[in-house]
Amino acid sequence: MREVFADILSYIMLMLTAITLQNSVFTRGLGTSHLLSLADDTTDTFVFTGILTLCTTISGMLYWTVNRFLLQNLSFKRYIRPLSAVVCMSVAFFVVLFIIVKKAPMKTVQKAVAAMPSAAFNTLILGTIFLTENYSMNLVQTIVFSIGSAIGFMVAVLMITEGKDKLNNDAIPNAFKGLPSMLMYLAGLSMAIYALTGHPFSI
Amino acid sequence: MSKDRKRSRLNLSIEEFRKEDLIFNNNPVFVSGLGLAALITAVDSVRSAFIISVAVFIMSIITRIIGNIVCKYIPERLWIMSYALIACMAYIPSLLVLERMYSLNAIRIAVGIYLPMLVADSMVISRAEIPLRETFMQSTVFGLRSAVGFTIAAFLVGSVREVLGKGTFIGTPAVIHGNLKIFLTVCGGFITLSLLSALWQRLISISKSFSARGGDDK
Repeated sequence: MREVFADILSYIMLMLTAITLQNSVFTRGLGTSHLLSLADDTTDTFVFTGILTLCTTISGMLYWTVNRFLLQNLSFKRYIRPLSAVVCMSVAFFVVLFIIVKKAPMKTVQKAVAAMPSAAFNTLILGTIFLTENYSMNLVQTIVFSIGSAIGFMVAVLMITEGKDKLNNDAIPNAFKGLPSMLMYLAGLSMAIYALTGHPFSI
Repeated sequence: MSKDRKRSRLNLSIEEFRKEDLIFNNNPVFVSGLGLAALITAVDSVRSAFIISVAVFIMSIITRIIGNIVCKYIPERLWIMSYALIACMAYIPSLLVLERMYSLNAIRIAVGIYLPMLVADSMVISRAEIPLRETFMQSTVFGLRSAVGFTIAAFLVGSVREVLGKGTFIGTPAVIHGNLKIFLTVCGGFITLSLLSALWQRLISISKSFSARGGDDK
């Protein structure tokens, strides 16, 4: 019983780490371009991150299976590694599309279908897939880490949406308006997480 | 009257040039914010900038050309997926080229997962989001321009981070006292990109005001 609790606790910790201390955006820069474009357009954040969570999780599971049973012993794996991951992402894309069309209300379907392509193919999903492989995670850890990464991205979106309103003011020099100020804001958040993980700064 | 017409034609061509210029006025990194993941994390030296740039050069041009042909037969919603799959094919020659220059271990240390991740990077596949078709020549020229724009940005970011973070330039010691390790971290990547992007936007506004003044003087 104690071992089961310990396992559950370790998975919860893994997810919390993926959301905060190992946040894909602030500690690895994954999906930054998408994050910035998402802050600018009118795509529904929750629909986008909902699709992203589903796609990341399903792609992660598929790639874990493909890697374990097909790729692991191939001598030319390094050449087809991205192809295998993108094929898994494509399968996940169609699975999520099917789920949305069958289960979601009509109003959400239109928004979701519009957001699907960019939510299903981005560096956040691919990066998460490669990280779970590099860390040699098991299937449950892969699922938990994938969900955590996607939620971490949602946290980043919420923070940048909040920051964007504050960055739209006249006190900011013209050259820094737009992309530079957003990047500097992300630098501040990234630095905070870096310090939170116990890294000393050498400045 | 003819002078006015000449001037307006000249202004029009400058505007057209600005719209199509993917190196300075619409730099994919400093202006459009594409391909940031690799630059923020992996590009912390000139060597890593070179590795990423070679891959982007090969992948973005091949993907843009083949993608433009293939997308005639595919629904618009599947364009991004098609571009990503084509980029995976283009990744193979790019890795083969890089393996000729560096050992696999050196590539892994320099750029890690950020090299295979380019297949889903907005720098390579963002063209799929624009529903305009191009001719073969346009695909090649625009792909080349955008890759050159990215390369310039990557070299600037890599140089600044290497000089400030490691105290070297292309591996040789640079003349600075001490090094700021923060520039080798992700937040250092964000800071470098932010400062360079602000500088770039300032240069664009200076060039715009300069050309506007030039037009008035004529």
